[in-house]
Amino acid sequence: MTHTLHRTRNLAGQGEEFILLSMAAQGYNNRGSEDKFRETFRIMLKHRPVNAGDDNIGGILTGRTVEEILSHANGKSYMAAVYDDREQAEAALRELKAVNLGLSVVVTGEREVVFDLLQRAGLTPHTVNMSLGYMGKVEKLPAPEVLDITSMCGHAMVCPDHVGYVLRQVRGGRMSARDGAVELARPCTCAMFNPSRAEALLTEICRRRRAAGVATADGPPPAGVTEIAPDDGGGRS
Amino acid sequence: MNVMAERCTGCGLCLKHCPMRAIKITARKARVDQDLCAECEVCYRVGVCTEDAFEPARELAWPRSIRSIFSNPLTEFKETGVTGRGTEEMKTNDVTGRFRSSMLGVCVDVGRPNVGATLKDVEVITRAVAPLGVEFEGKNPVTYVMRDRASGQLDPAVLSERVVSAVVEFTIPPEKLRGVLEALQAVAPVVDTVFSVGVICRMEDGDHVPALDQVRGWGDPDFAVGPHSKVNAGLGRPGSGPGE
Repeated sequence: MTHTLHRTRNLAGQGEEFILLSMAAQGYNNRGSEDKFRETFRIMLKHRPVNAGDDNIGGILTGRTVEEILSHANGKSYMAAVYDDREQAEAALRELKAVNLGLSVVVTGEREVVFDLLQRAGLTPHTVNMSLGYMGKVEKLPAPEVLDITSMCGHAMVCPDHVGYVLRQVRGGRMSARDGAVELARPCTCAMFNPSRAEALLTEICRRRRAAGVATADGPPPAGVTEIAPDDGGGRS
Repeated sequence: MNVMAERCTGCGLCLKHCPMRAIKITARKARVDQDLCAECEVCYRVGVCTEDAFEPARELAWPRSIRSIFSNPLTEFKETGVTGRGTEEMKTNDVTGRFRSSMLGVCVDVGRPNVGATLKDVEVITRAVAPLGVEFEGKNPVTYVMRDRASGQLDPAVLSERVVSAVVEFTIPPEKLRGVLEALQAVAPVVDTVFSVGVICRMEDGDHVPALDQVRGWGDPDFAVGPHSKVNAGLGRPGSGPGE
């Protein structure tokens, strides 16, 4: 799986992000790892992630409680946490190194920054997966700023049409950018969607549209987006 | 996925959540276009319907069942015990040693939200790279539906199945990387969806990425490595329990 690899950053000013994912290798170290996953998740939570969860059940922004996530932990868990602060990510990694649970941990972010982060946490990077970008019918992709949001869900569960809907709500003053970001995080069961980045993006997209003279709740949607349900209702036939 | 018409009020709130744009409003009722539906269950899972009108399929028959394997992150691929479209790939490489220093891994994500893909699109890619002597990952669901690894041919029964996305995974010796990327570039205009490419490489001497030097050495703007990466932090170690 390439959950987090192909995130785009077309718009500036989105802030840093580090996504930590911990998992066991099936057939190698998965047996009896439930408590290790629980400890991993507790450590991740302690350092204040903006999103967190287990791919197999969902996350704190998909409606799962911390207790549900902990009680569901098993040898196939994928515990994930998203940080918008380098020091918190580093602190989480330092603690995971100290407890030495033996579960694999993958960190996604800007490569050189991640290398630096790992070094500061006393870790040596083992293997890297690098993105070479998009090919094919790229004209079918949504507008770059919308792709910045939808590509935060590697399983492609966050839809451009949903982004278009939320943008319209935010532009129209019916929803705050923060609430819009949390709303967009709901379909991402892996809990790797970054609501802090999404909030910044929604705010910036709206600012740009205002600066471009697009009326608050009118005007065409970004490319690749079908604006449906204009007022919490209606539909497309 | 089905919509129970007797419960549906036709509000349309669900439409925006469908990655395949398979939900339509007809005669004031939401209906799921079964040809387009990828069985991802997002519409059901997000709980957007106030009337609980969505009804997931209890059991999907082959070959439709692979829609769920590829598209629903919560569906487990029984053959590997892993949920989602792919495998553990490099995420557990510090334990499994699946990717050695003498090889590179390549993962091709086919399809994106509101674009989707058919297995026919996926086959265009597997057929493009197979003649180059790639080693398809045996635990990957795409490889599982492959009839002939030498040609990259998939089971004809699955070709028209639609998925939100699928991942093609394989390994190659480093010297084949350019040929693989050129083969992917050559079929890019033919594939009726988007795909994204990742290259997996073991680190050397702590912070050296041989594949990065290799691609940069070509000086070809068509093959630029972006700054975004997944990095295995090297915290994993094999277990010592029974059967491990």
